[in-house]
Amino acid sequence: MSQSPAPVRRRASPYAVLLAAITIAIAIITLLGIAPLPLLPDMSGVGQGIVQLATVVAAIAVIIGVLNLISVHVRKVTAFNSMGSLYSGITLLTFVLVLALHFLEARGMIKVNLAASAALPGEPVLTLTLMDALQVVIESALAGLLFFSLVYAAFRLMRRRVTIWNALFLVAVLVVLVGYVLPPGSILYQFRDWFLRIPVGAGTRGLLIGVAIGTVIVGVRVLIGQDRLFRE
Amino acid sequence: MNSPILLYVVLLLALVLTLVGATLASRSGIIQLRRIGAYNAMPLTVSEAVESDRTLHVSYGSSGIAGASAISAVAISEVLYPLAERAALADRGALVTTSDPVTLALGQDTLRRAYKVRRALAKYRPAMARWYAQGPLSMAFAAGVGAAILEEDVSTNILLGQFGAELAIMAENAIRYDRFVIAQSDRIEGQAVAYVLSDTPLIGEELYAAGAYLGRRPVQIGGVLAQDIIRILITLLILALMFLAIAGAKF
Repeated sequence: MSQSPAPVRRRASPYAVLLAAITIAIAIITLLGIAPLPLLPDMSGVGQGIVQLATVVAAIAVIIGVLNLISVHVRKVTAFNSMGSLYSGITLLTFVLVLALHFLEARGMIKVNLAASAALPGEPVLTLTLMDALQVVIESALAGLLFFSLVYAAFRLMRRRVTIWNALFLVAVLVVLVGYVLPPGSILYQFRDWFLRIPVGAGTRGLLIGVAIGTVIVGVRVLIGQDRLFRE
Repeated sequence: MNSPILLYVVLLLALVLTLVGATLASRSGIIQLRRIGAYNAMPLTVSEAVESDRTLHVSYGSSGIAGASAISAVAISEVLYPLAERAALADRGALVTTSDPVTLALGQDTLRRAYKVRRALAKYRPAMARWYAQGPLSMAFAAGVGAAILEEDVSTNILLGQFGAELAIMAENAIRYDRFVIAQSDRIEGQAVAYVLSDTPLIGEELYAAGAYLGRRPVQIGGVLAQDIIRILITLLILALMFLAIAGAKF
């Protein structure tokens, strides 16, 4: 571990002030575009333009994400110090292969006619089929394993500390799981149905209202330029 | 009252309450924040990671700065910044993961600023923030992060933002090897998993109070006060509407 240097004294730099000014102006224009006020000019066109610009930036950012992913895996392969390096090599090889297949298919050098494919005319059938055959299947299998992981975690929760809330959580899990197994006419089935509709539904709404309030408060802080984003 | 006017009323109320709260917090310090275990644990676990020269991991999940969860991503940066400042003292430092490519830039910038403040910019590398493709069920992201937790010798995992049930894979990977996990999600299924798997979970809106607990600036403490007052007002409104409905009022 290295020595602890004293933190640099923080004060607003011209760059941070400019960043805050741009952000606040764009935020207010977008807000007025989405929710126009009666006496102010209609900003919906400008607001939509800004949202579309953000969508384009997000699309370009995917390329940056892919480059980031490649750089991380190249570093692992060159280090070659664990099994992870081998997996990174496989990831890079797969990336190159899929890219080559996509390129060849787009150029018309490979023609695949899969009747059962969900691809629209003109879409790359081969890479989409590869995606369905490998990615979706593996992800679905992993999602299936989640069930066991979660039930074990619920059991471990009680071993860690027994509180009334943990006990209530475990009882709720048991009621819902057993309720799914029993036939529709049974009391436990009806109780499960009521339980999911009323207490769980109310809890979900409560949680979402809380998240919405938190979002408003942080949004206001961004709008008045008091967020840490604006500090260098 | 139509919805745009209502929106501006809520924003104005939030602004006024935040500013009043900030004034109270800066002048008298009478605002006492309630104890949240996760925020108490965060500095301690990061210090542990620094002392043992292991990695701090903060994940944004799929919180996207260009989407509906943008404010979640901003709030997570409030958590990341002070913790990365501490982690900058260690040689291993911090690891940031996200499945949103725009948030990757936010994570990199937050890390860079934290390292710069600690005069440790030489240790900062853009690859400390990593993007993993989300995949149709988010399992690809979970598997990638799960592997990174082990490979990078992570000791503390702070998983915040937008997660579904895939959070279980990441947290399970960490817990199995005795790594500390603090988790939260703004999705209901992710929040349930976070409650079960984390020793000190954050619940829903507690994420948005991060700045007040970790930064302690008056405006952030004022925000928490505003958050609580608006919550109480909404609760009272719901109760009033319920009693009116019982009394036979038509809406």
